[in-house]
Amino acid sequence: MITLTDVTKHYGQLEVLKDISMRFNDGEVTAILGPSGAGKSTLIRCINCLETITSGDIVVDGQSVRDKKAIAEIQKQTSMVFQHFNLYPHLNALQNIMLAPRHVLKLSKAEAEARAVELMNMVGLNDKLKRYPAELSGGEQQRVGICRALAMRPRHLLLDEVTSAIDPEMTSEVLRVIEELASKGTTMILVTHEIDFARRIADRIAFMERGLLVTFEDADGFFNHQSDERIQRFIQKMKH
Amino acid sequence: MKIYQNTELTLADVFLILRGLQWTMFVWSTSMAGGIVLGFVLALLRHARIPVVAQLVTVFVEIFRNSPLLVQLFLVFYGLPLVSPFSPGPAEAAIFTMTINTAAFTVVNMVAALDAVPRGQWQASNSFGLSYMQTMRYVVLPQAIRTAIPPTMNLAISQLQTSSLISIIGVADLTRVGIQLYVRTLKPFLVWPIIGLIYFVIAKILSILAARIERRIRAKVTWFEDAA
Repeated sequence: MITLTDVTKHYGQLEVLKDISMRFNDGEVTAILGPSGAGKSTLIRCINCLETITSGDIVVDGQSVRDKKAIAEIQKQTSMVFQHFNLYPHLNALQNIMLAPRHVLKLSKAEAEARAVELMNMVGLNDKLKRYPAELSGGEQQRVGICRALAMRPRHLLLDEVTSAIDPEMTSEVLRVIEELASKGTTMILVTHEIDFARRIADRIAFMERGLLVTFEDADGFFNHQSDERIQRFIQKMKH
Repeated sequence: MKIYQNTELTLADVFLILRGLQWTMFVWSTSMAGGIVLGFVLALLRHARIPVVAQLVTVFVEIFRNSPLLVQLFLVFYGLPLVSPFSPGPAEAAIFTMTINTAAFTVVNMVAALDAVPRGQWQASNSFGLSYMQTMRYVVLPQAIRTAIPPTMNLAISQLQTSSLISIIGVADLTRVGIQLYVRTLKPFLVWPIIGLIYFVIAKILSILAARIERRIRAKVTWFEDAA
């Protein structure tokens, strides 16, 4: 469980997160929606301790991000998939997936490799184990990115606009993998612009705008019984 | 009165030249090796932003990068005995000074190469809980070293030419042998083209080697940029 209490975040004078309080339950898929610049990515990067918060607190499975000694443990439990993949270009797909499990979880080479091969099978890339990132398409790279995050067996998977940098015809192969993970009960927090996709897989929806959490409710209520006109307009606009 | 002086080059002079070449290559190769290792370590210290140490490295680099090697040689060779218990001979002073000088330039190359590794690489590694040291070792250095190789090869070629300055403090290098032969023969257009040609040939071999290595790396570096 991840709990945010009155989280604020400043970049100098700019306030990117304003008094955000919310809770992510285990086994739930939460989609964070909202226009660009709303602070969605910053929010999940704060959970992953890639950014420090200015005030308030984020508690991940009982450990606070403000506690410097807890950061390594929190990062083990929260794995991120990045918009621009950020794969290690000098390592092949398998080595990309195996690096953190080997050196953070201290798995043996054989164990880490078995895990990596299994994940590559799951995402349908079993014939591209030894390919380097530059030899893979965007969709394939992002599937490796998902494998790399899953190889840590994190309690929470964080996805930061994972299809935004991929050619449209290849997004479906990535979304299919995420959908499958959702159906298996993986806890996920995803920042996305794919509103139809969010509708399909999310249990809860958070809507953010200019650093504020506008609404945080069940997906059914958000999409089917939306009373806020502005949000309705946003949903309509994003459908195209 | 008649002065007898042999104004021709003889077979013995070939051995003199070879001996000079040996000194040039010795000073150049040891100072390159030492300078690259020292510069590499200093670059890592600076990149880690360790307080005081990082600033000291910057000051060191700026001083040695922005002053003439010859002045540095004079300071070490003539100055060091006055302020320390060390009184280096010409060759020792030359190796010491060129090592430090090479280290300063290597820091610049290496820091640039480290900075060229995209921030996303650090974020991806931190995201999974890899420490600074682990990220450096497994993710950043393998990429940065490849980036730093071409400028380091260029540095090696230019330091070979620069090493001719060590003749002035009395190292019996190739240039020093040239001076000896010139003083004896008084034929500048015979001696200096020969000496120059030897530097040229070694430098040319190095640059062909560098181009070949660079081509091999570039194939991979382009991948990096595409992927990162």
